[in-house]
Amino acid sequence: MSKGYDPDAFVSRLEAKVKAVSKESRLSWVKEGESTQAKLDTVLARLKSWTKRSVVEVNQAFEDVRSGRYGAQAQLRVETAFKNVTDLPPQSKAAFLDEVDALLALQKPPESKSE
Amino acid sequence: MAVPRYVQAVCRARDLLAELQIREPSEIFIERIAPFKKAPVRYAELVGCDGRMVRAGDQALITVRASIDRLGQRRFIIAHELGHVLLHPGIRQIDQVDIRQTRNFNHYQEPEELEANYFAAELLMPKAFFQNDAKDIEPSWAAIRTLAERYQTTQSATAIQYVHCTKEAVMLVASENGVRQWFVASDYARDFFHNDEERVHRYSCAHELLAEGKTQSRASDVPAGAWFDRFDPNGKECITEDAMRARGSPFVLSLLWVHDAI
Repeated sequence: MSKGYDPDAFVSRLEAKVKAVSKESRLSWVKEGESTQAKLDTVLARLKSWTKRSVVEVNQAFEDVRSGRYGAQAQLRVETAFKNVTDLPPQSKAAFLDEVDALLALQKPPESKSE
Repeated sequence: MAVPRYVQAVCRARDLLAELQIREPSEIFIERIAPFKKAPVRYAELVGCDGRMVRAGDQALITVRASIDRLGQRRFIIAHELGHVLLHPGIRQIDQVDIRQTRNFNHYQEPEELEANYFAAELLMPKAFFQNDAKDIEPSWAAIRTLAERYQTTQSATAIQYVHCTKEAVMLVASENGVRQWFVASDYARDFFHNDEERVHRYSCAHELLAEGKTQSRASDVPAGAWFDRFDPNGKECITEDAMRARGSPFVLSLLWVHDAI
């Protein structure tokens, strides 16, 4: 006597598998997004946050950005983005400087491994 | 005829949804969509704003205020900033946003901000899905909250998308300190025009919220003339108004529904 075999169950298992594979392929961008996000997380973990530095250091670095460390365009944009740029609390400046540092680090090409 | 810029922003969100092959609301992983578009997200203690986007070249970074406890607000802020990344590459290198701005759909504001809001609303609540979910729903804040939970976004943005998608004659009117600021109307409410009053009428639920310091009214029948032109505020023609003020928002939002022939 042959072993019991349920073709309907087989087909539905197969369909579920195809659906899962198709969904994974359709949403492959999620993995790409995760990888970019992971890069930022690594960069942030390595950076020395400006929130842990002195107010004098923070103010000086912020002035550097304002006065053109990013070029004249950036200077203008900093003025526009922060409504009261002269009254910004150090905490805000530090958060912004962290973002600038992270952004610069993200733009760097990945370090090649030495042989 | 030139296509309005905010409509172009909606189209850009639809292009992105098509590119991502999203087929249901649960697949709108905004914290993965943003980094996929080279705008990863971090959370930090921001002061004076709720979100910020900084960009250099084609690389951007979105920061969200860590103490925002509502998922819908966090998602909307990310989507709003992603809107700036994709829509305004040559204009906005640094952008700051607060929750008030994400609730402001006034057409008399910086066009880039309005565009970013419309982009975010369409990305998080694609009309293709939303229309179906909203079609049999009667306008009320309870219904809007249910939709906002399903799409994990803000009530204000959900209400606007609802007004754009519904087949009911509905308007959403925002007032601040008792003064009307902006409105959106469904296609089915085109025959109704605001009266010239700038201040909300004392018979309106919006006025009740303001006067009594409440955050939510009960949906009530109010005289059509309290809101609309060509009707008597003391007359018998009524519309339904449901008003609310979201936590921390300066805007009282009134959902006006014309459900009977008036």
